[in-house]
Amino acid sequence: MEVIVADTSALISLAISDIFKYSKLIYFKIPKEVYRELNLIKHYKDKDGNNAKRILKNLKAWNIEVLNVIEKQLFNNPLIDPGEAECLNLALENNISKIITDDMKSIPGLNDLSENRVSIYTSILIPAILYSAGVLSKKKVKQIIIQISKHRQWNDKLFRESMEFLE
Amino acid sequence: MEKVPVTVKFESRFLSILDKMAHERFETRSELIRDITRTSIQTALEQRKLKEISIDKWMNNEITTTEFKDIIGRTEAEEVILFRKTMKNSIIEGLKIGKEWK
Repeated sequence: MEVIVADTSALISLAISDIFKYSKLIYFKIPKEVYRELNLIKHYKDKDGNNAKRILKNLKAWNIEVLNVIEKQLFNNPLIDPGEAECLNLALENNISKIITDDMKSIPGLNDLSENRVSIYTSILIPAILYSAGVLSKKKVKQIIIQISKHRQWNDKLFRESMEFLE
Repeated sequence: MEKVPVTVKFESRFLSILDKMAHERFETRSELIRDITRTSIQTALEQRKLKEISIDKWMNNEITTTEFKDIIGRTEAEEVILFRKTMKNSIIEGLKIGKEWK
């Protein structure tokens, strides 16, 4: 079993790749601000909107729990938005050691503020876990990573280099 | 190409500066906003392309990290460098966790 704090971008990536049905042993915790962002995005008439709707409909089935952040400390860093700041607060308050985010711009800020108590990853952590645990094949995991990367418009070389570690 | 009307709200102080600029350029307010937006989009697209090419060259060791930072700017380059590391760590950590599950 693995407990992970997820921000909005990572949740949407995982919904797009339809991976939640395989990740029964992973528990996702999200702060109220991420829940609010999903409720805002669900009105967009695009892939993000459609997947935000799916996440909100399947919170329980996909092991996604909305938690309160006790200390409403919104870090004074322009590089992280309120959702990411609450993710970090949530992780620190609940001793959760991992956050996933697919927002490249927020990673430096989250790393700086994490007090070395929380590690920051991208959503591709999840397919890598499922591959290594024998839940998904290498081919399927590669397809998922490519799907996420295309949606996020990540540089081709950057994500293909990471996939080499699967070999 | 067909033009689609868009409603944009500006602060009145900003709008008066915009009107003054439009007057100086013998343009209407709409023409000025259209020009500025078009130029800005074009610049952003060019910068994105430059960034992609620079990342490829840096990852192929065709340019040094210092050159990479000089081309796309220190902040953006450091974001990319950290992102590369985060992507690698995500796979490595994922493989480690999955192994422990077995």
